[in-house]
Amino acid sequence: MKKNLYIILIVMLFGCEKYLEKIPDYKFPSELATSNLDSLESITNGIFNQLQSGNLFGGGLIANSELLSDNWDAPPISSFSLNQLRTRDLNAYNGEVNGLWNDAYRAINMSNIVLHYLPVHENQDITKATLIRGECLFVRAICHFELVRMFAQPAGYSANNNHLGIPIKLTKSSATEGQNTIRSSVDDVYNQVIQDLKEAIAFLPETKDSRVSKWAAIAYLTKVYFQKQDYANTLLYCDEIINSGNFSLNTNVDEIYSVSGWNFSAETIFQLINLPEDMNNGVLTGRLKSTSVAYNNPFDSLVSLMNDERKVKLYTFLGVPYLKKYSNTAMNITIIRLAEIYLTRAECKAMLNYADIEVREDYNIIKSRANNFSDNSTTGQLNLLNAIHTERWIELGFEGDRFHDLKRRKAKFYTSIGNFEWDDPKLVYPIPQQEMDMNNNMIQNEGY
Amino acid sequence: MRKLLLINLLFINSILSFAQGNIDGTVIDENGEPLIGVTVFINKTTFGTTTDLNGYYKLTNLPNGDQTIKFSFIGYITQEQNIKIESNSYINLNMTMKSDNLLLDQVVVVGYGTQIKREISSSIVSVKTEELENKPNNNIASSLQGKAAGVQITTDNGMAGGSASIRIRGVNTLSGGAEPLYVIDGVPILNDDISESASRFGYNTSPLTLINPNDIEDITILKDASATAIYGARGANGVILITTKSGVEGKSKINFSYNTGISTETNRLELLNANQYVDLYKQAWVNDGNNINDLTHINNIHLDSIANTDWLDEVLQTGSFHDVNLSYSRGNKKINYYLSGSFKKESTFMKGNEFQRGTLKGVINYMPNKKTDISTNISFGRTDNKYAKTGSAGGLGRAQSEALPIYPVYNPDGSYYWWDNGGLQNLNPVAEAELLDNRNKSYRYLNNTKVKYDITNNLTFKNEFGVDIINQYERFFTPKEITIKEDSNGVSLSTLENREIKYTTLNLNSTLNYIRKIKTNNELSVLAGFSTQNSKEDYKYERVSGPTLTFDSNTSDAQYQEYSIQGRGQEYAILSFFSRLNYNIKKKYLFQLSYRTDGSSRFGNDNKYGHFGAVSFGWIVSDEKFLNDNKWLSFLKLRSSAGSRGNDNIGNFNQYSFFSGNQNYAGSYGIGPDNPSVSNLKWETVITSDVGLDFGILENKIEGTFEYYYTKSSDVLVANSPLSPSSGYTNVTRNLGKVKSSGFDIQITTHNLSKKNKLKWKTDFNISKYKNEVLDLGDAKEISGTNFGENRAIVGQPVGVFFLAEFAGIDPTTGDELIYDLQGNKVVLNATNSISERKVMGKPYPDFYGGINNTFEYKNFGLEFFFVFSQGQKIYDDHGKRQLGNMGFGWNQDIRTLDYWQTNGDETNVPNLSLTENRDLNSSRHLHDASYIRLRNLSVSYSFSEKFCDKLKVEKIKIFIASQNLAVWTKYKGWDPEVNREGSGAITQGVSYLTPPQSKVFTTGINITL
Repeated sequence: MKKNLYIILIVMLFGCEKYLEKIPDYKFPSELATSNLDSLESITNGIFNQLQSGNLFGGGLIANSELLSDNWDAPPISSFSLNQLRTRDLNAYNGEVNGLWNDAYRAINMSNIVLHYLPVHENQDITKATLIRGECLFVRAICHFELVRMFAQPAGYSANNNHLGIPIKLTKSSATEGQNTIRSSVDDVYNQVIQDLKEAIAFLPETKDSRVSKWAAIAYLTKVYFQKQDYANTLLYCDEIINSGNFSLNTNVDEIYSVSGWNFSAETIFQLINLPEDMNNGVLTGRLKSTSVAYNNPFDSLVSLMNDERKVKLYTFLGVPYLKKYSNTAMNITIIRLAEIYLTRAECKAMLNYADIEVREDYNIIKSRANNFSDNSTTGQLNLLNAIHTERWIELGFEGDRFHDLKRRKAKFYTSIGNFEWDDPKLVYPIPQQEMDMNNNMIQNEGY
Repeated sequence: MRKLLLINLLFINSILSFAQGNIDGTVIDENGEPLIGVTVFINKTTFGTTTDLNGYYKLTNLPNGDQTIKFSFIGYITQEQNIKIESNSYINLNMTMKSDNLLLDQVVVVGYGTQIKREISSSIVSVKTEELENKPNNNIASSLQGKAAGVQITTDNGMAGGSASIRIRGVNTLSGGAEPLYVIDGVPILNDDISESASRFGYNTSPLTLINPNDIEDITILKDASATAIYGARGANGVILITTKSGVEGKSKINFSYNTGISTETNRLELLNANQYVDLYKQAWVNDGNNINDLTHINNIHLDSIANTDWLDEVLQTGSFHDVNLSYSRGNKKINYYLSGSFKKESTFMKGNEFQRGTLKGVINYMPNKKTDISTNISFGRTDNKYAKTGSAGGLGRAQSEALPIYPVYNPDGSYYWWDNGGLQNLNPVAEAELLDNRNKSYRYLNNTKVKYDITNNLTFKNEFGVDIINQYERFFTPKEITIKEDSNGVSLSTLENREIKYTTLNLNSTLNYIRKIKTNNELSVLAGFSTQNSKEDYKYERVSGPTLTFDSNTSDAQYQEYSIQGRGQEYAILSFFSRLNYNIKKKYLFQLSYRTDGSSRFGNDNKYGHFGAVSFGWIVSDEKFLNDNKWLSFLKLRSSAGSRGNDNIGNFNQYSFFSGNQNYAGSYGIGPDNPSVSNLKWETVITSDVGLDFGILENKIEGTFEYYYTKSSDVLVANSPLSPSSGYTNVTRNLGKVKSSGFDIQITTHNLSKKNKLKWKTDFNISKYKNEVLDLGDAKEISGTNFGENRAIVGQPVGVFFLAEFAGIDPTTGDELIYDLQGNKVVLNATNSISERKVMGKPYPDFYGGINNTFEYKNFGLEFFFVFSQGQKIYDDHGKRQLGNMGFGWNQDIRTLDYWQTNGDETNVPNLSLTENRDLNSSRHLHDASYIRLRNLSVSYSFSEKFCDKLKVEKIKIFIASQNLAVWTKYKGWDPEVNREGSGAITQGVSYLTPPQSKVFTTGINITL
């Protein structure tokens, strides 16, 4: 016992500081985590893990936009936050809203951390550094884009899009830095997103089966320009993808929904990979599984539009509406696929007054894949647009597109809760209360 | 007495001529310390003396013959012994004085030592073993409820192994821990819930349940700065010192007890039955503008084939328990020991909730010579706790909410009926109780080895080495029947999770204690010590799934392997120096100074060491001459203290910025940042001043204590102090706040009737009043305690106030729920104004609380009834918004929903019914007064007569029947007014969310002493 005491006394005198330094072995001090390129690569992996979060592409971002659209009229939901979404009666404490804001900005900050330390370590492996740089720019762009679509009135709401957007974050934060960032205009946010994506294209790999290929960034550019109603630029990038010959439509309409792990279907442009042991799509598949999307009335109107393979294979069971897109819980989360690019291009062509046959050609590709008759008769911009909108609704239903598509087109939302104009403030998320409380420069959205 | 002594002394000097025999010796107390000033005299003579500084006395020239020598001293039992004096004989007679049982003269355990209660100048309450005996609680803390002023105890739930929250003099913190430090036999022990019971099953459990309450000798609660400053950075929330039983000198003693009993929930919730539910559903359906003929199904159940299930009946039961204890002790001057074993088996009122505990304890105390004392104390506890789901986790919580009375328990084919909740999980509380097997098997080893050595008569060295090891094995088995987990081929999978934690604490205390008498009646005592503690947690978690798994499957079998992690967390080290100086003048003027320096691994690099200290004074007024002739005042002490201590319950690694691993993507290892760094993170500093008055009136027939204290804490930790989430970080832990509190503690014991052989009646009463206020929160405007911000810390308000829109009644013309907006206008509640119009609506902590205990003894009978009360605290029923007029939410409704608004002019608290309106909104409609008086304990006991015992050759047999929580008087309509959803957090108290009730227990038992 006394010996013990002496040992401790000695430790005390000479090793006090060490004795009182305890670090858990399952965590990495930040100095270590940013000390080399391999670590930065690990952070980048963490960023993709973050994208799979139940609040982002792994669930809420997609599922909640469906809940707010006219696709899915859910019965009362026993979750406070989801029920608020269902009734389009949100407040600044909504967990889904806060979760999206927090998780997306976390991914952005992680990207900024990597981009901050990359110049220090890039010489260790310039190929790897280039890849990481492209990926981080890509993630930063798409997170800003998804945030601005949910937390601000859509592009086209004001002349020059100078209405309030979201804070743009391009540097890493600390407990004191980056706490009072102002909301930039929607136009500035779009410009930053486009700039990051264009820059990313230069760093990302050509191979389409990459975690993020340059095609993913290009495809996202079509989404961004399309949402901005810049149809000429959208068309340019759609052409680049389609003409590259890298992608082709899958033969079966339901093939994309069972791709899992490190597999890329012919049609896949950007997906989040799900390994069986990860099951990071749980929130998404859980919320949009057949049993969750209650049958009977909810998407009758959508189903009634269909008369092809997609009705049987994706949307009904024994004739009753029944969503099958999320039945395979092991599925990867497809974020952009070639079908969308075709439909987007069709619409751009229609908007830019291309010949009717050229417009029909693009969406007929989608129809014929579903063993449907080709449309050879529709003419005139308005009719064509109607046909494309219907086709888009069917093809991309429940994939997180409808809500933004209606807003882009300034179309009305017809829902069981009531009808909403495209710019109804209830269809814009509130800025989370915590951001309001802590950020001195934050301005709340209308109606909250 | 003293006058007599003086006369005696005079006589001794004058009557030398008759002197014939001599006697001398040393008088010591029970601790072997020499007693100074003990009166020693020969009965019926005038020979007498007092002991000197070394406790030595000598009487000479005593008359021949049989005499009785008498030793008396204040606070000790007078001792008599017959002696035979012969001419010129020389007798050596040493005497050990035992302290008498007057409360004022008890020896009280204090930090790193003991003190005599009358000489203490700080605020300390002591609870003896008798007051803790025969209670059915698994957790010692629960048995303390209502026993001590200034100590508020809430039994969080009635589940097996459940925890209790203790607040000593309220809270001085916000997000630091508010629980006191527990020290058992000198070793600080772990009291945190390290299990996953809260997150998975909806209630906290406590590692204190691994300790057998019957092994406890006494519990001392240190309240003020003077008493706790010696625990430095861990003293701010008060300290609970637990002393366990050990052997005593004397013949062998065997103690046996057996208790058994039954338990039910304290109160049964009343919910709608199936017909009532359907009626209300129909009404809501029609109110929403639908045609009643279109309503054929509710949640896929045809209205012609509804069941009528009372789900509470289905998941509740009458619990039972058996508790056996056996102990053995014996000892002599050189060695004594104590051995005990116990076994308890319990099933609670909740089906599927079971608890087993076995304990073993051994204490050996060896005194090879007068200077040396070596002891070791080993205890070993094992619990096997089968969890049941409650609250938001399901089980009982589901039975009282989602489980509609129209659902059957089983399908016609006997299989469980599953209803659809969005496809996330298969639900049915009965299936959960029957199919799930979730267990916590824990082992706790406590060992304290002490060596005490008297270097000189004045100087004692003591070394204590303590070990606390908890091995906890949790296993969560979810059979495939109840999950919807499938592999890619659609095969259902069972899941088995294995979570192991090994928590080891090593503690070393070394002290030097110097005591010196200065002149006759002054005493100086100095304690100096060094202490170090190191705690480590190793953990392992594995999750496997497969179609053929069972509870006992081997989780390391590769065929099932799915996810596994192991590592070390919770590492924590402290290094401390402390010292205490006591100086007593004539045992009348008391002075104490204490000091401690703590270095802790939890503190940031800029603030590695904290310094704490306190000073106190006491004055025993009743020993002053001017009160000597006083007839009624037997004791009066004034005392006062001031000092600082710290709260280091701030988390182990909060000062660092970390990245965590396992944020993998597609098989590649990923990491991500947790929080930004805070290098100046430190303890919370709590400064307290205290004045107290201890008194005894009419020969101490009435004894008591009044205390007033004022506390101010600064650098209060705000864990998760919010950041702008757009920075990528949502929160960080910082020292931001200031909190002040003040209050009175009053404790009175009256011996109403105390004549021997007659009816004896004693009353113990205590009451505490307490208030606090948040003074500052730094740049955080307010801190919310829960996701929806019902509880808050707001500057200028008490800690944890409820922040809600104020309910303004149901509009009699429309049936809508109204609130007052901040301008005082009545407006209809909606999602936006339920947030924007919030204000402070009450607090979760009481205005005052306490206990009153009456014990009666008549011949061999004993009767005790013990009430606890608490006034002024509020409870927020977070589930109320879903169960009082919210048919649209899809849950069963409280019976009070039958009072729903129906027609113009209805005065009610329940709005009109609707299936589509969003009623899932907070307002003060669900905030309730939770004041209560509870008959905490009622017991009747009978001790068999000595004659009868002699016949059986036993010393004592006692039988008793008792009831705990027999009745509670409260306006609160929920399960129980003592609830706690959020565990032990300082801000988040008084919120109920399907929180399980406490148990009402009937116990009968027998205690036999051989």
